[in-house]
Amino acid sequence: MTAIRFPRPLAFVFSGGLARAAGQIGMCEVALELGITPDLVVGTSTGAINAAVLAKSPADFHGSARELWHAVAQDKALSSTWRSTLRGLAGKGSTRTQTMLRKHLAATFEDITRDQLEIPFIAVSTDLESGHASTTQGDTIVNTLLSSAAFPIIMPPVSVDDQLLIDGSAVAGVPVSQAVAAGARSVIVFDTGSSAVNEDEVANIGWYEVLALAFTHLVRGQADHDLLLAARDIPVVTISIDQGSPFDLRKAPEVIHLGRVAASDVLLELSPRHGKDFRTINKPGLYGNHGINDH
Amino acid sequence: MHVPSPVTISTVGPREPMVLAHRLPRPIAYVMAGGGAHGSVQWGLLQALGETDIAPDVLIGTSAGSLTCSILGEDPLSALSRLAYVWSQLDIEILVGDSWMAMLSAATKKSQSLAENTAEEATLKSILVARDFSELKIPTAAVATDLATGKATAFDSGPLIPALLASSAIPGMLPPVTINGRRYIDGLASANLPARLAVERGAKSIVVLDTGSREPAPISKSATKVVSRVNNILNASQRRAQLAYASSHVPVLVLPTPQDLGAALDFRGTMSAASAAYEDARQFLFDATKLPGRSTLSPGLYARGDRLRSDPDLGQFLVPIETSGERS
Repeated sequence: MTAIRFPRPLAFVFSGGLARAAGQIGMCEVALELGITPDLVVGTSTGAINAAVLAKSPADFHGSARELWHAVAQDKALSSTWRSTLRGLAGKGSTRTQTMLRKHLAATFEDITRDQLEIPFIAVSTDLESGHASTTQGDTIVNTLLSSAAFPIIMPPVSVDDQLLIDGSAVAGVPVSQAVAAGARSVIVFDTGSSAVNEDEVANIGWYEVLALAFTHLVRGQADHDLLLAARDIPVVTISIDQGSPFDLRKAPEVIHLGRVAASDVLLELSPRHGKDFRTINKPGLYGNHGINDH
Repeated sequence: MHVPSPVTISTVGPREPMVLAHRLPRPIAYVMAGGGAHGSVQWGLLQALGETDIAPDVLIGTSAGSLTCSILGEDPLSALSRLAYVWSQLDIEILVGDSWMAMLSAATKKSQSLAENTAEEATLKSILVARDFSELKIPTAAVATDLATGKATAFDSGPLIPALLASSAIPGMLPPVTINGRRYIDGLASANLPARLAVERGAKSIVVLDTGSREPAPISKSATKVVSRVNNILNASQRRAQLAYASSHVPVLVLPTPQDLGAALDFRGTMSAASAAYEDARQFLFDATKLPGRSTLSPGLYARGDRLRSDPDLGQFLVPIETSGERS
């Protein structure tokens, strides 16, 4: 018996967020521990990897997700995205980053396909040609995830059928509209948070960091727009963390903990009050600890 | 100096003004997008709007659009001839200086930009007489992005030149500008076409003066081409979001703009782009006068229908304005 009930189908939505997506493991664990289970999981980029681990076997999520993140964080060649970025800018190095990520994903997913997952799963990529979201990519889960997480420069685009696919963050940093399109009547968003940093953090940054920050603001602006649109039609619960480096995988254990704390706070706030047995979240709107300016 | 005039190449000379203002609820905002050298398109669009009876109550612009707004806001009567002069003179050296050695040296250091904005500042001060927003005759706002938070911020009071420099501080290339203790960069990172801000600030109808776009580059796996393509995709989706928000609240008239322009920092084609924009916008505005009914327009996206009809975000708001084939 769960204390918080949602209109079904309920989707768990995992945003992109590079290393900060580790926090989604903590968030998702707390939701599962409270007996909240999804009918559909949707993810972008590194969030798609977490979503696929959940879809493969919710019962094994805690162990599998931590194992995969631990393996990637231990891989010195992958654990610093800055190093991967330099490799990518230098030319063919990005193919090596992809090969290494493929190895770790294959250890978790072997060669299973989407039909073999326990929960329906959608990963979002960007079709480079049309500029639109693509959700049908890849024969195996591993190939699907590689296209959804093909972050520009760090990894090369992935060819699937006639499409050239890259990271889904370019069109769906928070793939909530894809969840709605797939029929979700409510969503819980495991969100890696706003692109905002403190003013003192931008005092002494270099020109390339100004450029990177402008880029993340662009991505986030679009994600906020999608969240607001979805919240007009269905209940959208966001669990967000605004801390944790997007670039340092070695901090994953701390970021997972931040995710647990954020999820506990949000879900406690939504819990039934005054001795009631349960609360149904059925009114469209934005719930949770989002920092979105909602007019 | 030779300044080509769009009017001389038009097939029809100016007649009675096209009557359209009574269809637009007031206050009417002109919303001007950023776009570097493509900003010259807005000169052509303003020329076409000058042949209607529409007069803007407020102006809001981003980057190149914030400069066009300031010129118009400072003196609406002389704006067209001043814009003609500005766009015939502007080029990349005037904006970022001509020292490539200095840029290379900046690239290797931890500076906040590749170029300084001293050349741009001197250029702005020579174009504009006003130094404070309060000196402008039409209320004007310049949109920049708060570097730390990513929020779109509209400057409409206080010193004008720093706000314009902030609004057009291309990230990585020109330095962030500190205003009231916070750093700001080009409004393109948050609202390159600030239609939403216009609505939030009270506009009851909007005329969009976009800057057009360039032919999409061929798709390639090269890292730099992918990044440039991603930038286009993000800008396009930000534009759709801005137009969707605005046209669900107020009538939004989107003037057509050329889609075959050169690079955004290539200033060679600015005059011909403006002429083409003028011709199309003039026909569009004439077609808009044929919209059925007499009362003010209801909220919606009043635009050429061809490419928007199937747009998942904008199609629902579209009120297509088709070419009638006959001109005024």
